[in-house]
Order: sequence, then structure tokens, then C-alpha cells
Amino acid sequence: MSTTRDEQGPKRGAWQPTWAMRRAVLVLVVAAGLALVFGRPEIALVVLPFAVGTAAAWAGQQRRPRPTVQVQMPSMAEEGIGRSATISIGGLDGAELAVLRVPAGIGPGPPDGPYVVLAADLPNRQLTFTVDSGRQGIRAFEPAGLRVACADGLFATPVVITHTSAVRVLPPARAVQVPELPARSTGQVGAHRTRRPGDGSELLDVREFRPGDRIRRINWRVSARRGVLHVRHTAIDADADLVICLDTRHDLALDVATWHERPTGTDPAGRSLGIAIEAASVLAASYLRLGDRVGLVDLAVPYRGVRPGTGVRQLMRIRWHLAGTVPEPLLRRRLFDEGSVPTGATVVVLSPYLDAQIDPLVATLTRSHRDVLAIDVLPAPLRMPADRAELAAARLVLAEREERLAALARRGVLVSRWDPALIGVLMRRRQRARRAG
Amino acid sequence: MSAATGAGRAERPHLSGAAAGVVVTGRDLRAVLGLASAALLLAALAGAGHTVHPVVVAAFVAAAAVVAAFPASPAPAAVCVVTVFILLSGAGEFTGWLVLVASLLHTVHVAAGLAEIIPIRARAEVGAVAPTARRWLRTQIWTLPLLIILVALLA
Repeated sequence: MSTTRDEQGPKRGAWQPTWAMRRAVLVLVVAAGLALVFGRPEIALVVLPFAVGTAAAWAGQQRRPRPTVQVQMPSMAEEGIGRSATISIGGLDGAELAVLRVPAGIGPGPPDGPYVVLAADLPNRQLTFTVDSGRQGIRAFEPAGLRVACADGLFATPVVITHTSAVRVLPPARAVQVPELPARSTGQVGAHRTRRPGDGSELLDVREFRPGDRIRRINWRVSARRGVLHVRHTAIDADADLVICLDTRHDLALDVATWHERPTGTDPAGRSLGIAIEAASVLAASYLRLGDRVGLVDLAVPYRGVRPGTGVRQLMRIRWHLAGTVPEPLLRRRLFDEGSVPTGATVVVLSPYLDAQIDPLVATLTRSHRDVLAIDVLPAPLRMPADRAELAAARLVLAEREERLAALARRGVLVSRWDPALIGVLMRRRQRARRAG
Repeated sequence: MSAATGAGRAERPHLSGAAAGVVVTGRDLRAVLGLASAALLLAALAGAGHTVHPVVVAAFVAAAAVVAAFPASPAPAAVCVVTVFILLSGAGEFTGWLVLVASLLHTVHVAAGLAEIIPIRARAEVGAVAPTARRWLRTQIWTLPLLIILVALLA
């Protein structure tokens, strides 16, 4: 909630005479003076309605209240789904009209402009607006402003403004059809089948009772039929981990000539980081829906990320982090700890693979984890620069990038651009090849 | 005035409790102010018995445009004071022009007072300008007949 900011000091909200008041005094004094000095009664007659109207307005004014304004914005919103914001105005007693400046992004907007002028016939008013959430990310809204006036505009308060408001717009949690992840070799809970015998739910066969078998695993029906105690022989259950590594160092647009500019992160549409965030959100939603454990790792900033977990709250946690992701040009991560990337987890690295700094990190992951997916999030098709020198440099960088991706593929890393269907096909093909091999 | 259907149109964000229905825009107010200012200066010139030259008309229109563009400035006061001086420069006859100038002077003052508060891109509920409009109408109804009688007696 954003409340009135006390930036005008002790005179905040105090009524002040306006240009209209000064004009009334000036015109009446000049007219009366000229009429008296030059003996011209028609000058006095001309300002009669002016004087009567001003006197009536002055007599009817009550300048008691001090206006207040409060903006109640939602702290969180979904991308593309509007939320309600409330602006409460108080202290309108004695005022005739109130001019409210609604922050851009909520309220009427163009072509009507940000101002709404209200009749101050009630002491308090509450307005409900729809917040245009826009793209994912942290969206800052300008402060709201309020000015009230009375007596034909002879008196008005200074503009009372609120603090700025921020709304975290979460990326979409769109789940897609994804192939099953390979189960972890450790742990004995989860939604995945394994071939390892143990205390699980998947039936392998029914065998004779041996010392050490649990009583509750006895299959009484088979035991009664055969006359000897038999137990259910099961395979242990296992869970699968997916760790999404987000390379937040680059936020590249389609126009190669703009790559040298420092990314602001204000308009993620069509940029590499926006694609990476969307991919991370979709993968997290898809695998969490299947009951897998999903975690998030920021390659640039070690302390940013979400440890693997399951459930709806984990999805919300990941989306919350993704919404607050901003470009971070420095690569500060050198190692992966077991907490953030468990052994046996499937690792997805979302990056444009533009520089060599990513290579050792992916190599580390390849050595310690079975399945590493390199998802290329560079937007396409690129617009190459017109300048010859810039064009040559861009071609060199892109050629190195292609070579880097080819080297990753040779190392056994599954390389693909961001396309859920294509990634699913490649993962299934690899799983079939692994089973056959 | 223009009829706004902002609350009901699908392409605009929902806006409840504010500026729905018939509204007065800041542009409407400035248009009224500009027209009244130009008419005031011309009526004062005619009332003072001066010949209305095209150059003077152009200058007055320019002055009215400045008043309409900057209502929160000394411009409206300057126009009012100039009107008084134009009348002073005349022969001091009591004619119908005097009544018109008196009415327009009050109109310019009230319109400038509202335009100073209401931004140009604002939409105002009719209820927001209604007290001022009522007061203006009441003043005109009470003072203009009196003024007409006084002018007729003094003429």
C-alpha cells in the first residue's frame, strides 16, 4: 500500500490562494481605483458581476480539511491478467472538486490522459482501477497525485502525492507435455519407477517369505493358496530432480548492433533473458505438475536461486524469483554445491552461449551429472549490423558460438533451441538410445 | 462537453466510481476560456467606440490563445485589466456593450479559475464543475438585469 508522502513539509495539504484569487483582488482594486480617480462609474459597473461572483464564492468556502490519498496496489500479478487497484481519497470536506493524477498503467490512460476530476460532494471517495500488468518482471508505478479546490478555484491545496508502487508480475505458468526425467539413484520416494528391488509400490513379483521380510508385505491370498508364506516383491520408488540454470549475464535483442549496450531489463519481450525466463517457467510448471523436484540456479549470482523442491508453492517460489530476475553482467559463480544441484539431477542450462565463460560451468555439470541440456535462448532471426567492421565482429562472435554449441554436443550435451516439442523429442530419443545401449 | 463511455468500453481499462457518464474535459474549458477572452476584448473595444482593425483582432485572438494555453498565469488577469483600460480609453457611454463586457469579464474569471485547477488532459465529472456553474449562473441572473436597468437609467 502506498500512502500520502509528506514531502511538502508542515504546509502539506494546507489551502493556498490561487492565481484566480490574485486576479480577483487585482482587477477589483484596479477597476475601483480607476473609477474613483477618473470619475467613470461605468468602470465600476463592468466589474459588478465579477465582484458579486467572487464575494459569493468567498463567502461559501470552507477550507477545513487536508486531503489524503492512498493507493492499494496488488503486490503480485500474473502476466497479461489485470488486477484491481484501489485509490482512496479522504479529507474532501468543504472542497468542490478534486483532481486525481492516476499513475500510468492503471486507470483511464491515453487518449483521456492520467487525470480524473471528481466532484468532492462526499468527504471520502474510493476508486477501483484495473492494473495493466504487462510483461513479467517488477513493474514500478508512478505515484498518484491529488489536488483539491474550492470557491471557483480561488483556493486550492498543493499537490499531495503518494509513494511509488511496485508490482511483481509473474511469468506465465504454462505447463506443456514433457518427457519423463530419469529417476535419481538415491532416495526411496517419488513418482518414478525404478528397477531396484526394495520397499516401494511397484510390484516386481511374488516370492517365498525369507527372514528379514516385513510381515505387512505378506500376500495372504497367495500364501493360503500355496500353503507357504509368500511376500510381495517390489521395486523402490524414486524421484527425479530438474535443475534449471539461468544465465542472466546477457540480455540480447534481435538487433546485433545493440548488444554492446548495457541491458536495462525493462522490456524483456523478444530478448534472450525474456526467452530464458519463459522457458524456465514453462519447464518448472511442466515438471512440478508431474511431481518432480525442480530447482533454479542463477549462473551469474550464486545467492540467487531456489533449492529443489516440489509442489505448487515451489512453482510460486520459482516464478517469484524469475519475475525479479534482472541482467547481471558479471559471472560470479565458479562451482555448484550439492544443495543447489543434487547428484543425478537433470540439468537444463538456459543461455545464449555467447562467450567462453559458460564453458567450464557446463563442463563441470557434464562431469558430475548424467543429463545436461543446453538450451539456446538467443532470439532469431538476428538483424546483422550494417557497418562492415561491426558485421565482421558479429560474424566472428556467432561463429565461435556455433563452435561452442557443437563442442557441447560432441561432449554428450543435448543442444537445442527453446522449443518444448523439439526438446521433448530429443530427450525421448536419447532415453531410447540409452536403454538400447 | 463530451459523452464518455470509458467505464463500458472493452478497449479501455475498467474505471469505477470516477468520470463515468457525461464529462467536461480540460480542453472544453480552455476552449470556452479562449473564446470568452477574445469576445471580451473585442466587446470592450466596441464598447469604447474604437474601430475594430483586423490587426487588432488578430492580436486579441493571439492574446486569447495565450490565456487559454496558460490559465495558471498572470495572462487572464492581464486580459481583464486591459479590458478595463480599453473601456477607460472610450467616451464613457452607457450602452449594451457594457453589459456584455461585464458578463464576459465574469465568465473569463470563472473559466480561468476552473481551467487553472483542471489539467488540459483531464476528464471532469459534471458534478465537479456544477457548484461553480451554478454560482456563475446565479450571479449572472441577479446582476445582469440590475446592470441593464442601471445602464438604461444612466444612458
